[in-house]
Amino acid sequence: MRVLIIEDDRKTARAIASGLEAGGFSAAAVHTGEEGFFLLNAEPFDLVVLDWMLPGRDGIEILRTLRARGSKTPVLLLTARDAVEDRVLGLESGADDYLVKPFAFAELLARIRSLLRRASPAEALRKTVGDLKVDIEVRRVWRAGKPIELTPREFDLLAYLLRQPGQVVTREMLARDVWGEANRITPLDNVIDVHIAHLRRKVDEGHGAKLIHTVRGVGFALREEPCG
Amino acid sequence: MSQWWQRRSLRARLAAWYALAGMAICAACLTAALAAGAWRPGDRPPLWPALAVGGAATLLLFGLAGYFIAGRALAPVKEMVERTRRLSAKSLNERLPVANPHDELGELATVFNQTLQQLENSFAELKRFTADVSHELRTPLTAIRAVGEVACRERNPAVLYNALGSILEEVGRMNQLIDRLLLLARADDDNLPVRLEAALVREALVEVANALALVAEDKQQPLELDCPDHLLAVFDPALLRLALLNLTQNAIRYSPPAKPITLRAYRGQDAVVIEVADQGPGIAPEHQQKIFERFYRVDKARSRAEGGVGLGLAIVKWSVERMGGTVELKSEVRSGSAFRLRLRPVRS
Repeated sequence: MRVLIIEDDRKTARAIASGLEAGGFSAAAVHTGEEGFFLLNAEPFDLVVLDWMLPGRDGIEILRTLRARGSKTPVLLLTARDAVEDRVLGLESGADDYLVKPFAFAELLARIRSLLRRASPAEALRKTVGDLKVDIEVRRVWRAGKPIELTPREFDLLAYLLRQPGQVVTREMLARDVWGEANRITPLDNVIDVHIAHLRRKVDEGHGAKLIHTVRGVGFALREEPCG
Repeated sequence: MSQWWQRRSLRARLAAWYALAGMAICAACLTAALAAGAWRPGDRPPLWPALAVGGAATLLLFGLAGYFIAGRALAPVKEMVERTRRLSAKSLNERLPVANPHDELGELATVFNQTLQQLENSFAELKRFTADVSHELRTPLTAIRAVGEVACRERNPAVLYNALGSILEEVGRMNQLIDRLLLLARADDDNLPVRLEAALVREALVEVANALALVAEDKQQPLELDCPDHLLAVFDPALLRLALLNLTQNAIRYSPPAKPITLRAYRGQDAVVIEVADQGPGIAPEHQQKIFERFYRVDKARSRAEGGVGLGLAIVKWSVERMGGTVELKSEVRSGSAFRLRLRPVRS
């Protein structure tokens, strides 16, 4: 999968590119709208990460030209503007998703994966990580063959972690997607931490291999090996 | 003509009106004398050259007197203009002289001075706020820098990983701080949409209690709910949830384990009252007035260690006031605190 990053801040562009490469993508980064436009015409890309504020032609302009020419390449718009009108303008100009700076890299990765997955078939209803088995449809969970009782919220939390296997999810993503909280200001970090602690107790306690990991300063991940 | 007239100073125009009034008096006297039969109609009045000179003198005299009186009356205005001209953002502590607080000009000066006072206050507040923000942003920056610099000399991956984690935590905190500051900055615009509706208070309380049930349970704190089933109030559910989540989390955070937290709502005299009460250490009177101010903390070190950025109660106050309500604190040291929100009731 090839991703083009059009972002004028070189540090950010480089960090995104190396992060994506570490995540198994092939990434190219350019720093102006002109370069980006040139590359998009010259080579095929599966996805574009586009900064709104660019010197010369800005992100929205590039996006509009791209869509006017019939390009269907998914575009993820990055911006420091988070007012509702900006969001609407971004999406109306043809962006497929919208991420407000500063964002967690984990979230960028999750959004990119989800954009690339949109076209692919529906997700499996039974999932396994190590000796943990989850049936999404009947909402039941087993660890090492033994059933685990989870509250609805705990199940939603686990299912969300499972949907991004091995990937880190941030508290912000959990607040928005599991608790359905649209407002970033609403204080839920504490609530999330406590739920994770309870989920961890039910899933990991008494088992040698821990599956739920805390990535300090970033969020949580469900995977077999510890991180770091 | 009328434009020419408008461009004269107020003093000149008043003088002209005086002169005109003088002429009118002369004319009235002559008419009265004529009516009284002092001379025959159609004839020239006796001593008419003297009368003409007298008329001109009256005109001049009244005009001059008018010019003088108007000058006296308008002198304070001139002074006010001079003083106002010298005002700038740096000299907002100056005030206009109030010669006589009972007359119109005195009233004008008084009102103007009040406006100046308000301006001075808000400038002072802005200054303090900017200083506070810089301080609050510097604190995590200092930590990031220190941790980063120390980590640069480190070769052990586990220690490095830990340092990165700590840096990211501080970044997260700065991020939260900026999000909240932006919210409050926009809040001052009063342009944020509010969706006020008549809704069930109990639903809002249950939602908050459910969200925090596990957090309270971990501290063995019973979350008690006391609210009539059908109590309605006018509020924006998202804003009320924001306020109640902040207040209830504070209550859990700052009161000791096993002490119950109560979410109570009832119909008061002219408002629906929602109360979040704890049995914690309470808040001393000297802090009570200031607790809703941005960045005000009763115990700075502790609040920061608990992950607070010092804006929670400012956001509570803002969100409640956006819904046309009020929030107040009733607290006594050692017996606990109760935050009381008053929302608009639904008239039945």
